[in-house]
Amino acid sequence: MTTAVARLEPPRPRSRSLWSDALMHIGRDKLTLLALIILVLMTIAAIVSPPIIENQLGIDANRTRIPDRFLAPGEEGHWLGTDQLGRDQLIRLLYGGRISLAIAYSASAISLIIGVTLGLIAGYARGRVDDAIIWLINTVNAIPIIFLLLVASSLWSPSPEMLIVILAVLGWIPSARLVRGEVLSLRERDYVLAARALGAPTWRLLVHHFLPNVLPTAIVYLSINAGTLILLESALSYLGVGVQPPEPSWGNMLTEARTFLALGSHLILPPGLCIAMTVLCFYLIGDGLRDALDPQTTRK
Amino acid sequence: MGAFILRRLLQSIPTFFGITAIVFLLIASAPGDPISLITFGENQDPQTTLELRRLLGLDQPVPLQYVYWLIGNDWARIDLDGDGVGDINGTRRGLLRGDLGNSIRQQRPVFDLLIERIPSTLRLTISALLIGYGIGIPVGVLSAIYRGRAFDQFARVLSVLGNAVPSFWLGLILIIAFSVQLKWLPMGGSASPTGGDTPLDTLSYMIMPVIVLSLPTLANVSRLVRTSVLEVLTQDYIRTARAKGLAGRAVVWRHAVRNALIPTATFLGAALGGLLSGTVIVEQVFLWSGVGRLVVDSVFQRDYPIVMGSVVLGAILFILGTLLSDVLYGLLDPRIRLS
Repeated sequence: MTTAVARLEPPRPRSRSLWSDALMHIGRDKLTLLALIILVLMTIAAIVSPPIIENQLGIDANRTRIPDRFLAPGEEGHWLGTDQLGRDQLIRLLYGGRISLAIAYSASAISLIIGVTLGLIAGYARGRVDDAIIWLINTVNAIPIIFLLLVASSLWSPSPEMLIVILAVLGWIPSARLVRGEVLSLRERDYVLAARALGAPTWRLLVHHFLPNVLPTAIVYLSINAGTLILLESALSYLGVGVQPPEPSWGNMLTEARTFLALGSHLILPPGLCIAMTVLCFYLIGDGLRDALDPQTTRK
Repeated sequence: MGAFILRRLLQSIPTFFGITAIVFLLIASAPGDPISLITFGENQDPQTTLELRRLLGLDQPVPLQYVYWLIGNDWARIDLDGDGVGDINGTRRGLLRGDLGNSIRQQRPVFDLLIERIPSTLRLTISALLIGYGIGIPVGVLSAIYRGRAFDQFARVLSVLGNAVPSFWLGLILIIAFSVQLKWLPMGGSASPTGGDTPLDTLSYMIMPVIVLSLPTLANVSRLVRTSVLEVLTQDYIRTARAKGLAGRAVVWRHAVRNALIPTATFLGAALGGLLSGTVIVEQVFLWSGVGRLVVDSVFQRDYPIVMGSVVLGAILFILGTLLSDVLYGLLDPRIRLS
């Protein structure tokens, strides 16, 4: 049955024109390119460099040395200085980046999968199923997200893995809403009607006809959401219900720095700059992708 | 218009019940026994613990507990000694009748605790909202008028940064600059502990939190206004106005801006939700004793009645904000009402 359907369909042109157009567009978009490069470099640095630097400088991330407390940047080989326990700030920043980025990437990917799936189902099924999903979206959306996250992550003691799950489970709303909207307009198109008239099963419609068309929206959202998740994770860690010390994260490094505001103001700048820089990159990439994946701007 | 408001009100009822259900399930699924929070330790007499459990309705199935939480249990008989016969009536009146239960730590009604804190939180959010809109709108309009010029570039960078910079970090930077270094502004709190603040003193406590809180709103509003002014400027009636010979400035301010502001009204609901989330963090950074700090403190003390009450309160405010923005939208744009 499926093979018969496949044969009846006109051969789909194998062109990747939207995506290759997009790639070319991004190639010309210097700001997006810059953001992409910075983000890739930061990710590589966070993954690769901590062990190397530890080896080179002979420093351990969690080694505390009371005589070396609050060293200013540059003193005794600590490029960014040391914190209240004499731990090297640079190493902690890199390890913190590892956790923050890992959480952002995976939570954003998981929430996208949930959001796209529910959005596809809601938009396609309509009726009761749609009503139920819309109700869920409106409900979760009405609760200020930080309240929910606070409660959820204080209830289930927040290991990084748990944080990923909590952020993902609470972060799928906007993507589901976006995808549903797109599907609602797609399902009335002629080619969908044609596919259905030819007897294409539901899964085929969803996977071959709707999914490729909502993918651009989803990818733009993926990038922007990753930025938002970095902010939320760091806020939670700052409040003390996110990543738990001694494990460093950009958020909880600031919590510790706040206690010693007058003594170690050099501890405040770097983690915040890292957060702001990463979020900025994710947002700029999202904006760039939106332009690149919009046929109306690329064709110009 | 009345029918429109009524319809929107009716639509928010299922949302409200959904919120209460989610909050209740979240707390009910929490690991650990709530009784142990009240009784501390294991030296407690098991019989008393059992009675307390029955008194609080914790021996009941979760759906029934939810019903009690919503509508109270003063109509139900509680079987304290377990002989199958009800002994006393419950004392709770339930969420729907304004009873959010008692705080576990402070032994006071959650409703009162929240009411006490709401004014100081509203002081921050409303100021931030006013500043965010008050500066955001002109910045957005100017940025659209001077599209591509230096001011526009500056405003756009600002609007991206306003969303990307974490509020707690910005708060810390401001504290270092204006409190630690310059000693111009107090580091935190909402009033001096000894009292006797002049209005100027009170204002000095508000400056930094309000700046931090208003920045994302400012960023989003200016961005929104810029886009919609640019969009309106391409409309036919603007060309007509120009063709009539109206001066460029009159066209922009009288014809374009007025219509371009309509979408910002819908953003009000989202802005309010964002500000409520924002206060949780900002109040923590500036040690401002509002609802946000009450929530964070209660989360750490596992004082669940307060947590549940404040989440419901936050959600109600958000629903009202969305409702308000829809009504505003309907008032400003008759097409919305009719569809």
